[in-house]
Amino acid sequence: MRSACSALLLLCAVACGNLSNEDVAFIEAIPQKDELHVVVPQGDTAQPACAIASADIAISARTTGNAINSGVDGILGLVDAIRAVPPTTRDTDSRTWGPFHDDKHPGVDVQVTMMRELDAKLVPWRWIYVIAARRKPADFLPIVEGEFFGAQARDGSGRVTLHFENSRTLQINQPTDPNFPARIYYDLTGNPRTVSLDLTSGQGFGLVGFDYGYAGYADGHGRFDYAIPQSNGCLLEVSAWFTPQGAGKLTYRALCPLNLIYGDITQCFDVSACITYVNDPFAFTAQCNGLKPCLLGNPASCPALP
Amino acid sequence: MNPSRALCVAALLAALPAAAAERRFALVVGDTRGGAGTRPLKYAERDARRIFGILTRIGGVREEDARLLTSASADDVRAALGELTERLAQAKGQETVLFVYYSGHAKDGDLRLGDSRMPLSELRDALKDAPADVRIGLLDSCQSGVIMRSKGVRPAPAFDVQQVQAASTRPRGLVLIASSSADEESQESDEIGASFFTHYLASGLLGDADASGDGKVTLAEAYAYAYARTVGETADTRAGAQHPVYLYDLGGAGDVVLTELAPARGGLVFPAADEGVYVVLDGSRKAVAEVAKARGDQRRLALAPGSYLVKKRDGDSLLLGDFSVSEEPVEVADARLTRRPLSDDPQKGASGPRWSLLGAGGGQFFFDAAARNGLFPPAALAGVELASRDDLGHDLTWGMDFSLGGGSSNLQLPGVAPIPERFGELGGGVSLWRDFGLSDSVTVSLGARIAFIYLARNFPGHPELPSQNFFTLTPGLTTALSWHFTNRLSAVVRGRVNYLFYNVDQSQNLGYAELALGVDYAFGL
Repeated sequence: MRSACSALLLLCAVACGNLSNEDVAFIEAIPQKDELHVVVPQGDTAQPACAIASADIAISARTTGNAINSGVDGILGLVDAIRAVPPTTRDTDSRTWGPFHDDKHPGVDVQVTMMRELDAKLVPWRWIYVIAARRKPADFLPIVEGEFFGAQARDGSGRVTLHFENSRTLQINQPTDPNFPARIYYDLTGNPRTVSLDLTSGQGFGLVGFDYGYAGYADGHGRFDYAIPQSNGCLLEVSAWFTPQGAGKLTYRALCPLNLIYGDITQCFDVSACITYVNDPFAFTAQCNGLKPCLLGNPASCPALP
Repeated sequence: MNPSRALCVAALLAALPAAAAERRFALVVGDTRGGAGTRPLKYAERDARRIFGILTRIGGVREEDARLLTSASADDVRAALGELTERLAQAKGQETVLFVYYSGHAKDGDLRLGDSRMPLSELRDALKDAPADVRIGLLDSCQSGVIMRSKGVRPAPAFDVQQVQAASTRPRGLVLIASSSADEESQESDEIGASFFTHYLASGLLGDADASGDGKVTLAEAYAYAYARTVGETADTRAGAQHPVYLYDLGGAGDVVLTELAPARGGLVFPAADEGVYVVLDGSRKAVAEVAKARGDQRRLALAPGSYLVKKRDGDSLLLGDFSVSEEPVEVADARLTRRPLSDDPQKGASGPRWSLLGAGGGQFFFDAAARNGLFPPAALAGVELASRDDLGHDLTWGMDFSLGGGSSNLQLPGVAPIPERFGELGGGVSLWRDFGLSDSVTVSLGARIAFIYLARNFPGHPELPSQNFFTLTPGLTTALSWHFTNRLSAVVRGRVNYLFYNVDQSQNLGYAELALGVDYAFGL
């Protein structure tokens, strides 16, 4: 009997590895960077001479989207760490990774905890995860807090709070990061999938404060709400629709100094990012040369969009 | 005159070669089962196969005129006898010889074929009435000498040399040879893997009985040899000496040549310069022939092509040598044998390890349905196993194996779309098992195995999921069924049942089975 127990203990001792279905379930509940990306069609890369003017407002959607994507990547990049190492502790409904050293930030330890709740049929319906970091001997500070509803992130909904104030304290932030919590809300349950970045508390990622919103459809067309500052001191709040090929139609209003507001102004643009149509009752558009109301181009050139 | 010596003289004086127009028929029966009240014999079927092989290879019996029955009923034997009788009748005009050989149980005057019986008198009458010029019955069974008591048949102590010399025509009539007298047991030997009588009869037919040295083994030579060796080798057994008996009722001149050594190519030649008793073993370490010779005599054994081990006792040691028989005769000189201690006697399973390599392919299957979901899906496996037989004891084998395998599957998680996965597996282990011979060519083995198993899987199309792996030791049981279809090659069906302790998501005791088909190649025979 004793030898049998010893043999069993030996087997327990030599059994090792990370072969785990449950680990897969936990990882599938964490959103991936590209699932939260703003995808603005790039259109033609070579822009010919435009009949009216270059669609600079539409072009800025791409740069704005890229800035948001970079900010999201910088924080969610921490999640990649837990894909590289197996959980440190496994309980029935929770996993802990770390603390382990953050290779990108010497002296920083990272710890990830995830918990889940199951419904009556033992299907996960809610996940909560926290990515925390510390510089010894200080305590851990939350860098990312997330809540997710569904069984897998790619078709669920949730929110992610990015604690830039803590990443700044730990000196692991990017220079363009805001210094306040930013929140990402996402809903990947249907068509369109929506992602919004709440930067209403201030600037960050090189962007002005705004409630950025993106809706991407399965066929490639989408809508992007964003804001861009102008050299004349005005702020343009834009709602742009894009075809999968990169043409589109946008409506914006300009919030200018002295509380002057111009809007709504409509532009259509082709895949080469050239303006094909302008409807500007305020002659805010430079090519209108101050003539009100200003109609340029052919409205039939506007793509059919919702 | 001593009966065996008289037989030898008769053979020397009167052996005539088989006529070219002669046609021979043979019915060879082997049955290990004797029905109620008997214990199964171990080597009866092997004995029958040996005799069948000798008769069809060098005994002048064509394959189409030979019948081999194993595990048959009395009715099967009657039917085969009837068929051969018809064929004999159709061969009218040719000189014909009919051999009937039986190895199995006999009791109370009956041959015991499983649960059926055939009176010895019926067999005797069938032989007596068969339309062949010469009918030869060879019975290797207990109390088989009872057949000599049959009415109208006169037991004779030896060939009548005078009769042979005086006759002027070819031999005609009936000869019955039994392995033991009416009140004796016929004995089997585990050491030689055969019955004593058939073993020495076969050795004689293969060439050691060729006392005249003319390349032919006659009925008289074979009997004399088998008689002398059987009596001599059983003298010290617990059952006591076993005395073959014969009844000779041949008219005409000359003896019947049973085997001709010259047409068979190859074989082993034991040169005149050496003397002693040589035992020739096949790949399964069972004796196929013996040579007992004095200095000055050369002997040749007309063995079938293959690999053989020859042993000779020499004082307190053994001489051993491996020989391969093909087209040309191979000389077995003492100088070519290696001296080994007696403890290395290959017939006692201590000749040193006999290596073999098994290549096998099959599958693996976990019993637990939940475990089969993603963690341990059914896998295809291919591998090799190196085995060493008789290294740790007679019929004990240890083996070392490695296998590679894998497959693809879909991981099903609650609420999650199926996740495709590819997995690979590397396994290896050491086993210890015991072989149990079911027959001459079929072996069952049963043993234990301790193995390691390494599994790895990844998830194509899911870059967010890291690859996973698992390693552990798995003890288990192993069994196999082997069919030896050549001297070196065996077809193997192998099954294993293993225990696996899984401890990542939760502690689980799992079991799995492996089934494989393969071919085993034996080295160094």
